[in-house]
Parts: sequence; C-alpha cells; structure tokens
Amino acid sequence: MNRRIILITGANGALGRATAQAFLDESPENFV
Amino acid sequence: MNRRRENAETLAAKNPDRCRTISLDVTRPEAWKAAIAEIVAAHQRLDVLVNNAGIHDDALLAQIKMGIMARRAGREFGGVFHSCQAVMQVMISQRNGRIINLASLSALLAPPGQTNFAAAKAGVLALTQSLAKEVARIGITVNAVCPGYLDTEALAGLDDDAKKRALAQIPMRRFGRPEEVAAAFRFLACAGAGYITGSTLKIDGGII
Repeated sequence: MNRRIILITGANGALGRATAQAFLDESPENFV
Repeated sequence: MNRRRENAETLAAKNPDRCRTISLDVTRPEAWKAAIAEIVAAHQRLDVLVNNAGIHDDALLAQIKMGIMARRAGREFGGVFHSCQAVMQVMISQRNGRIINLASLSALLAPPGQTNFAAAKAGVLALTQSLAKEVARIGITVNAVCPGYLDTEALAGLDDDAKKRALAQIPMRRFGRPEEVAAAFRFLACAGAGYITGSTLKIDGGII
C-alpha cells in the first residue's frame, strides 16, 4: 500500500484517538 | 495545553515518524486554509479527511440562547463545510480523496433536547450527499457515519438512570465502543470502499 496522508479532526477525544490508532495500525505507510 | 490536547500529543509522541498534531479551530475557514497548506507543503498530498470534531451541549429549545445556538451550528455544520471546501483543491488535483463526516443517530432520529445538535448533524448528512454527487466523477468519495450511544466523553454527562434508559433503547443492550466507529471510518477510507459515496452508515447497536 502506498503512503497515505490522513487528517482527523477532534483527535483528542476517545473517538478521535481510536480513529487515529486504527489508521496507524492499518499500515506502517499511513501518516496521521 | 489542556487535557484533551495532551491525549493527542501522547499518541503523536508514541508515533513520531507517522503522527503529528495540528492546532486547528474548525470553525474558521482561514485556519483550515492554513492547516491544509501546511499538510500539503509537508507531504504534497492529502488522501483522507475524517471530520470527527464535535461536542454535545444539549438543552431544550426554549432554553437555548442564540449565541450557543450559533456556536453549535458553526462547530457541527460549519466546521464540516469549511473543511470540505479547504480540501477540495488538493483532492481535485490528485483526482482522488476520501472524506468521512461524523454525523449522529440524532440526525436520523432526533431526540428531545437536541434541536440544535440534531439539526446541525442533519445538515452534515445533506452536505455529504450533495458533495458526493459533485465530486463523484473525479475520484473523491464523501460519506457519513451516524453513531448512536458511544462509550465516550459524550456519555459522561448522563447520570446512571439516563444511562439505563439509553441502554434499554439499544437492542444489543450495550454502548458502542470508539474502536467500532473507528473501524467504519477506516473501512470507508479503504480501497475496497471505492464505490461507496453519498452514503450514511449508522452504527447504533440496532436502534433503527
């Protein structure tokens, strides 16, 4: 998978953190 | 630094090569423009936007002050509007992009006490459907997610009786976990979801 750049707003709350973690876990190429 | 910013900073510190935080007031178009410019300068692209920011500030309509109503609309709807506008240029130039907007079950099944929140989230659904049609031909998908009751900060304001009443409405008899909504965000951003656009995915344990 190619590198993907992902922007998540509200990443401080529980849902935002879980979302950021999900994308980080998805691929080592993902940049959040 | 407040507590919630600190949480994001902690995650970024654990993943220094793959994660960073940006201070962004989602209600200000100029802040969005600057943030996207910063991201594009650093990475030359932006593939996925997850509009997750939002807060609850429930009250009966008769008790809502105009200033609070305007702030709610500005944050819940205006933030999504400004963000989508800000990322359009880069996603159109890439001819690729994924936008996922956090709405709410309240947009589909509006409870009392959420006239401002539910209306703003319904606006997010309409924006999602309209924008999806505008950009479908250029490889950009736009979808919305409608969670029901989640075990997050949003539940912290409910007392035990209110939580019991909420649980009684949920066929699965449990609150959703943040990871279960995050999985939906990730799915809608994956290559396999490339034909899904303008959709609303509800994640509510079977309420509707």
